[in-house]
Amino acid sequence: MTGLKRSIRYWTWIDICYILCGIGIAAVFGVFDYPKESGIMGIINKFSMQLLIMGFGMGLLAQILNAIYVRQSLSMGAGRKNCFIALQYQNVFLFAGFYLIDLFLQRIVGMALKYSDWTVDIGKVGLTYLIIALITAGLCNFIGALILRNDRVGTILSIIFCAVFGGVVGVTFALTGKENIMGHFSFLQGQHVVLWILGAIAIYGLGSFGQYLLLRKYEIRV
Amino acid sequence: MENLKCENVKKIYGKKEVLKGINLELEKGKIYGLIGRNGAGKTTLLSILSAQNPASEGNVTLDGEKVWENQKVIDHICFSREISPMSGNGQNTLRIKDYLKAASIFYPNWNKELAEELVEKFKLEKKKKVCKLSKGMLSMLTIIIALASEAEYTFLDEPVAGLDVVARDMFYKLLLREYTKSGRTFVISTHIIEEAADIFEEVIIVNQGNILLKENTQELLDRAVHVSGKAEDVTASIEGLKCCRKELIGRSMGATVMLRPGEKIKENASVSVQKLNLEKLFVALCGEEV
Amino acid sequence: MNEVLTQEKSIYIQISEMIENDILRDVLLEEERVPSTNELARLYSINPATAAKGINLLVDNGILYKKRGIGMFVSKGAKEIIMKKRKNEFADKFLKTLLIEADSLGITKEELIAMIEKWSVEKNQ
Repeated sequence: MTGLKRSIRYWTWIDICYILCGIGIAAVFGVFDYPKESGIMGIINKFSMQLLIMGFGMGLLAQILNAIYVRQSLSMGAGRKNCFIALQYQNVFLFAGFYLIDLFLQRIVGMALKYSDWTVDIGKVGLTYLIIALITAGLCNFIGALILRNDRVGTILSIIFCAVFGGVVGVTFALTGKENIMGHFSFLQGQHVVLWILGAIAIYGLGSFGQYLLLRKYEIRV
Repeated sequence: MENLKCENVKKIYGKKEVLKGINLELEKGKIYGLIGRNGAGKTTLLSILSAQNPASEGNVTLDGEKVWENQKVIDHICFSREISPMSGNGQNTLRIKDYLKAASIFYPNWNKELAEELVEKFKLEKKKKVCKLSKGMLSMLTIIIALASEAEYTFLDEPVAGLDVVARDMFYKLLLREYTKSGRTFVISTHIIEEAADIFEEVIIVNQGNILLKENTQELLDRAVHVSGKAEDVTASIEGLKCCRKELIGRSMGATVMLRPGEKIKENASVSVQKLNLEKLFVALCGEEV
Repeated sequence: MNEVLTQEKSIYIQISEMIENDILRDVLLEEERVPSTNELARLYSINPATAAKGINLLVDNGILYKKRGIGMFVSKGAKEIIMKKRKNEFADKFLKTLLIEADSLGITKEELIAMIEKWSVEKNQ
């Protein structure tokens, strides 16, 4: 097995745990806090919204907690390049994973239950999600690498980031109730969609580049 | 496979030069002892040799190829370093079985049966979190990873720290069992020198970022002598010889001498000539005056 | 075998002397196999190369011989070789120290001979 395959295998185990965690947390929120009038579809609707948010939550959490895993894999002979690639794989795994589970729920379960009132536009939601995901992942990559290099600076930054993130989510929830959360980000789909996409890719690129530089010269000390 | 070679390796952290131009060649199939004071650069050297950290200058090659970021070569090396109960963000909540699983993924020759056998022998509970382990158990875990990795070149950094004397004895016996079975190369750094001295075929002394010596243990001990008696008599006996350390109390002097090939202590009835053990020799070479 | 290693002498010399003692005491008989270097290493927690050095000393002296692929064996007449060797070394090992010590205490040669005779008589009683 090549080095890269080993790193991928290692991180896959970790990521599966995050996804299971995320599903669990989303289920808890979905079950206990849904618009009671919509019945079972209401639960699934809420659940799927929570899943999307979990994508970001877990993506962020993963990067914050990564320090210990990065250290462990590097001290067992994983190369830094392979580790870096595996970290990007982790981003894809988590963000896309939650999105796909959500997609599965909405399309397949929704269709099975013959819920015809589905007005969610997968394409638009997907695009919005992608843009926000790229931005979040880029920032999280950088923060995660900072935590790796300097525990205190990184932890402070991550607390700030979490607070901001939580605040944004809370505000958007409060503003218009429990409908499609992605609707609040519809400004992302205006005329300037292409700019947003390019900007998001740029942020992801920059964040990951920073992560790469920090990782490359990282020294494993006890 | 060619040997593991270290060519003019330097390591600088900020303004401090921790390793000052190390030239070292580790031959296959030997057990090396790496001894040196705290801060001498042992862990740094092992990290660089195993490509876990980069050198500031110089090269480490195995089989003629550079080791840094070279997976093909790294597959033959295992550096089982100290596992910390604290991680960056708090406590290290990984469990023993997580480490064993990670090791099974990353070490291509991982021997699962051996790992299981050692976990039982050391009476470790696989479900326990690392932050809840004693220092001794942490040492045992690093030992298990090192031995079960079955890597051609295996490095251990102070593996017996925290182990009681019975566990230390177990370690030496397990190490020899592995060594006689597979002929793997081991480099073991330790502060408990005298116990381990008999196990090392060669000993490498690191002092202040330099390699002070690298020599066959028995040959080194054969040429280290301690001469004691009346100061003038001692001085006369050791004339022309390399004296590393002198101790004076009143009219009596004790001198540690390293004989070069062909040299002998001049026969003198009034001085005692004794052999030194490795620990005392090390203190004589690297010790400080109080 | 099973003696404890000390720090007084080189390990490999102690190994070879231990095997010699065993041969003299009939713990190891002629044409019998002696433990391999790996077995000795594990028994005494020493490096196999050190054990090998001790074994090689005995091979060089003709006390042991090697059967390819099987191991090391006690030579015929090993006991006599060891006795002869130790007799030759007796003066160097014991006499020298004894004479130096006697000299430093001011014991003359005649007093020394008298002491030896007295001690021999006492031993025989």
